[in-house]
Amino acid sequence: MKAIYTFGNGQAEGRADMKDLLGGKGANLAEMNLIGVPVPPGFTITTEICTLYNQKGREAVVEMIKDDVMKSVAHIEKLTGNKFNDPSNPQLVSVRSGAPVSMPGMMDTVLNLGINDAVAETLAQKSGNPRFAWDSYRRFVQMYGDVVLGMKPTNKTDIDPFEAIIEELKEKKGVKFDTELDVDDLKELVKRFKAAVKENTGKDFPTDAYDQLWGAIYAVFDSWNNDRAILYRRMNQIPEEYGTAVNVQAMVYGNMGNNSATGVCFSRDAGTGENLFNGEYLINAQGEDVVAGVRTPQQIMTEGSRRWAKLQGISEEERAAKYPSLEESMPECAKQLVDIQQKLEEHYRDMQDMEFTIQDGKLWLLQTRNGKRTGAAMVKIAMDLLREGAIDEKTVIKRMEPGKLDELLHPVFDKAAVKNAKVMAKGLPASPGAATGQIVFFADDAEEWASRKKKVIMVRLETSPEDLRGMNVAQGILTARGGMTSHAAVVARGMGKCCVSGAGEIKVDYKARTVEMGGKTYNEGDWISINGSTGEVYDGLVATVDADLSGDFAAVMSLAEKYSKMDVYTNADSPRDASVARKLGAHGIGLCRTEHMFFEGDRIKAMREMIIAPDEAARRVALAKLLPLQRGDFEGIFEAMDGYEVTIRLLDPPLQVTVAAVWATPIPRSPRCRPAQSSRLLST
Amino acid sequence: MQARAIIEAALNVKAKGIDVHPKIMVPLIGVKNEIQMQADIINRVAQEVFTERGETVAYKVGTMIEIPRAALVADQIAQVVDFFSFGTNDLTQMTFGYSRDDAGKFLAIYKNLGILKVDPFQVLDQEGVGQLVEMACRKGRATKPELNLGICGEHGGEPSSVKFCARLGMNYVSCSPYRVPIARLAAAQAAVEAE
Repeated sequence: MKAIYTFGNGQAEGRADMKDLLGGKGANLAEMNLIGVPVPPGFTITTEICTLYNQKGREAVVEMIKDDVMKSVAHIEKLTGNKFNDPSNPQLVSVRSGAPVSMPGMMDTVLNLGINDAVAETLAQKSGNPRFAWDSYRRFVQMYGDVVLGMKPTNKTDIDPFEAIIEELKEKKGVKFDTELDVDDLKELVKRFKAAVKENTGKDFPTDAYDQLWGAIYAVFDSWNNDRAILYRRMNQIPEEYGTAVNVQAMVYGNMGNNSATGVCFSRDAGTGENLFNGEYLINAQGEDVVAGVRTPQQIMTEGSRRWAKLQGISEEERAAKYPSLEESMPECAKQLVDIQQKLEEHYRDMQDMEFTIQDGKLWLLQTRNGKRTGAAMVKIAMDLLREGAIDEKTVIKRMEPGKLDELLHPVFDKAAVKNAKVMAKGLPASPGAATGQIVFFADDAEEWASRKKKVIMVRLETSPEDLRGMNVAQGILTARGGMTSHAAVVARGMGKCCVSGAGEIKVDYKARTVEMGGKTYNEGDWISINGSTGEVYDGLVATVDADLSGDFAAVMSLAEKYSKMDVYTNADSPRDASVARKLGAHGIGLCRTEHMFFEGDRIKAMREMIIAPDEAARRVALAKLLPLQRGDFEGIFEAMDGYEVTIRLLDPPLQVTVAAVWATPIPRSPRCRPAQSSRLLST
Repeated sequence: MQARAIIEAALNVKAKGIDVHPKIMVPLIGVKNEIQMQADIINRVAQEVFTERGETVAYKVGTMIEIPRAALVADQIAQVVDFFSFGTNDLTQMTFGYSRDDAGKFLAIYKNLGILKVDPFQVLDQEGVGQLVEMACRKGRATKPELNLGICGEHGGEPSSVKFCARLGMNYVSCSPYRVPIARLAAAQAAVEAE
């Protein structure tokens, strides 16, 4: 069994199609080498070794791969001319996990591994930049302490112990940014960090580079079985035997001074799909700095930079002076990056999400992968690639995540507005969409308010058939009880109406006409907004934008039509539902329920007569009253479905529900045991 | 009354030039004689209306397969009907023995404990409930090769369930209007993946 695959200097033992063995990251690092993209040399320990590690234990695996690891480190040394664990000519490495599929919860990145006091001194001398050396050192102790030694807080709201030390020091010095700390400050941080490690783990911080390396490798393998990773695998049905690979790579430094930088970029816009290379970078920075939000990242392209400045209300002069694009600050590197991103996109034939570092004016790629994207971007990018001739029609279909189309069908919240919105409660994302309106608690109020052109959101403990009319005119529905198949959820989805169900923390008081959530009491008429795609409930008005069903969406749908061998019908109980579904491509009605039709207006009276009819003759009299009404319902639906099949289901409610709805009497609902006679009653 | 309303409505719109294709579906059938009796009534009423109006319209009579027993005796039931429509909400409920209205309380716990991977009311349980569906399709078509098959539960708009239905050779899936595009795409994916 080959345990390790090396790469570097335009050569690699692995390939892009070896994701199962090398993980996504490792396979793509190998592939980038093969197609001539500059990647720091390194090696990947396979996922099979991870599986063995978990089966046979640490010692057996170390025994097995020890020699290979030493050889692979020598491979890096040969290509860089430096030595790992040698203070006179030190080589540092990064260690990163990489499973075959993206997996949050796994061990993250450790940078600058191999550093200690003596190495830091050498780096300071050799680079002539002591700040760089000690900044790298303090970063390493922090990352190693957090991810390898397990000091990263598990609770999101807890403060990282190392960040706390940094904040303390910055406060003492009266400075705002990490970059304002001088060499002595950084040395002080390293000292305090190590003391924190000793205090927390009871052990001295490891100074030997190989001890550090093995510690990091164990940590990656161990993280495959941490609680978060197990939970994520279970939820996403990722097989446990996949395992994760470990990537060890020569360090390149983005924090070596003002001619160095680090950044992330996308070959197209991941939000809108626009074919616009974009990304962010920071000068004199490393790793997570760009996404950590401590400093303001700058845009890579000048056009993007101008758009950004406009949104931020920053003048062109200020932008150019304080936040120049990479094109402006390092034009050579920017040009090279533009070429590489294009090369990678053409090679992978999909939008790429890339990480890069510039060390002293030289550009290196550290990662590339197919970028995550919104539903809108998914559709636009696939259709653009088809038109560009990069992919064929079948690939377009395979690339779609059907569930994501939902995002395109319903009105959506304006992204900027939702960012600033205050979340008051959270329920189930029962029916996607965005709704904003005034709170009402009862169906008749909803109808009455809507008739006065008011936008309402119905807030209920739960809904029942008599709430239908109210739900129909409401912008959205919020319930305290009920799951994804509750009445409210099913009906709302059918109506294409936004619904959040089962928001258990909200307290609805029908009598006082109030709802309490997030520590605030809302009265009837107060404004709230609900997000049926996330289950979030926001305070007040949040702006929305309409969905657009033409263009690329329509094009993808016609491709689906072309290749599909099975038809799609709709469940629709009214002409309105039927025509909405037709517009969305339904070729018939597979289920038209007739229950709801009996709860409208005068029909309830005839229904009551029928149910309590003492004999068949009396029942027939009552039924005769319903006949013309039903006939009218069906005519409307047949007309809306001209040319297509319409499947009408004969009446089928549990009798106790019908009775409860007809008399609006609360009857405790037993688990559904439905009298089949109810259907026979009416087909006679 | 409902059969009469359907047939009369169909004749009325046909007279207006509408191309109408009514299918009458009987729910909650578990025994062949049950649906036989219902189909007889529907056919009798239809004939009465045709005679009254002096005009006819083509219609189909079918049943929902939502009671496990119906799936087990699908070959017998197919003798009586033109189509099956799987009501997978109730079929799931009765196969698992979970009450749909109460399942919300314990499904989350079951998922956390790893007893269930997903909510079977959202994602069709192909391993268990799926066997009943597969068997009913097979038995139904053995009796009547041209039997029309479809699904009308919540699962009709869930991608993995839609693909399962496509693999079984169903004629259609039916889902709520806003899920139609999702189902169309999943159906296309099933066809492309099968190649």
